[in-house]
Amino acid sequence: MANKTQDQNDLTDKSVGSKVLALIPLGIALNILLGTAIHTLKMPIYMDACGTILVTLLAGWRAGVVVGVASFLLGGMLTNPVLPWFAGTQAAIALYTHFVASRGGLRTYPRIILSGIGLGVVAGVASAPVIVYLFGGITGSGPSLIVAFMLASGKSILNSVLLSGLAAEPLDKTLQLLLAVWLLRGMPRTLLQKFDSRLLATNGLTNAAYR
Amino acid sequence: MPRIDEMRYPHPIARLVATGLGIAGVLLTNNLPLLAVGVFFGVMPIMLVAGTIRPFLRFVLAVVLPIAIALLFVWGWLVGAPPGVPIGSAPIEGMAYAGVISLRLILLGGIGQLCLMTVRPGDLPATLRSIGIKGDALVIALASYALVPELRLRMEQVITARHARGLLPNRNVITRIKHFPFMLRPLFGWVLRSALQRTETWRQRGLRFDTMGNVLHVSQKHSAMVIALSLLWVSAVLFTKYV
Repeated sequence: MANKTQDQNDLTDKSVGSKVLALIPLGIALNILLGTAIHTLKMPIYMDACGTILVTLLAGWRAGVVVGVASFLLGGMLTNPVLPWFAGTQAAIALYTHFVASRGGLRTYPRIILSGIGLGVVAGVASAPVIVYLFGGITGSGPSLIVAFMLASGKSILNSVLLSGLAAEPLDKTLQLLLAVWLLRGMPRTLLQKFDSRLLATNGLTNAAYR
Repeated sequence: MPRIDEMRYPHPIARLVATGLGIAGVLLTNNLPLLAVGVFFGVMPIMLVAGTIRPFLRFVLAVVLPIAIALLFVWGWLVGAPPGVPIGSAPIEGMAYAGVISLRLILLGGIGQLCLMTVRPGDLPATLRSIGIKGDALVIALASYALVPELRLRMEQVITARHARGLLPNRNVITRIKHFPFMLRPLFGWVLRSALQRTETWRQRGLRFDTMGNVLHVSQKHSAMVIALSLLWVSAVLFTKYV
């Protein structure tokens, strides 16, 4: 229709895809909710990128980046005002997840564990500059103890943060990837097929033979 | 004190510019007294006037205070010097470094809260539109804002349902941790189904965001005031840094 507004036009399939558009806010809410729940339960993991990983697998890296960045911006408003500074890490997580998933990196559990270790390295490297400059190396979480130990042994602040990130992040990110794949495998195949995701198909998540 | 629906706020563009200048100032300076002035004579009085002092204090006590204590312990006592200085050679400077980082975190968090939390929910669509967030991005922003409480409620329903069926013996923290992955599956299933249902609803009804919330409770006086304050802050930072 000629007199449709720009806002109405953007909601049709040609821009983002209305399924993806509906999925993104839910991914954002899932990220915030899981992150907050884990933080409240004082568990020694973060679990704040699960929504990012799931949406990346369902709708590709662009949607994943939007979910990751927006959830940390909104999380800054609702839970912790310093979260937005880690939005870049979430973008890196979405990009890496798309990269490994497009190469079948989530097809079997050993591959998921390897991909999770890689994801931890990416997340550790991406968040290190923020932790060094903004937090002085100490964020108050578990890995800060490793940083303190390394600083006391004479290592530089950047090396300490990088090494502690590389020691702690792979476990957290492997758990998040495992949880994401476990959740997807628990969903009805017909439901997942409606999202028509190439990444899910590549990793056998919409194919009954792999389930 | 005016009623909340009578209060007026800075224009979104002024809000964004002031936030950008405020953050730039905080990131540029390492001056401990100036950062303290920014907290006690800048952010806190504005928080008091805007009525957002409670979430700010909660942030300071719950988030920054534990980090500040850890920073003081590490840089003031364990390392005993700021970064780049031999270990144990300057404990006072190490403590000052911990103070700078803590105050910087408080200021960054406070400025972020002032920028975001002082927007009235009713003004949110118009605020987002006036800073250039339109179409798909506006749908995502507004839906995310609304869906967090909805998803939280859904999670509580999942817990209650499992409890009612005898799958959760009690609601304590250990039980919740043990059953956490199993609570996620129904929640994620709901997320996927809800996304598909919303898609269908949007297709059938269409959404009009062009006429939504065009009324903004802004005032030029407040806009000019926040810009002036942020410029004053950046000037003070540049003055102490270079003069």
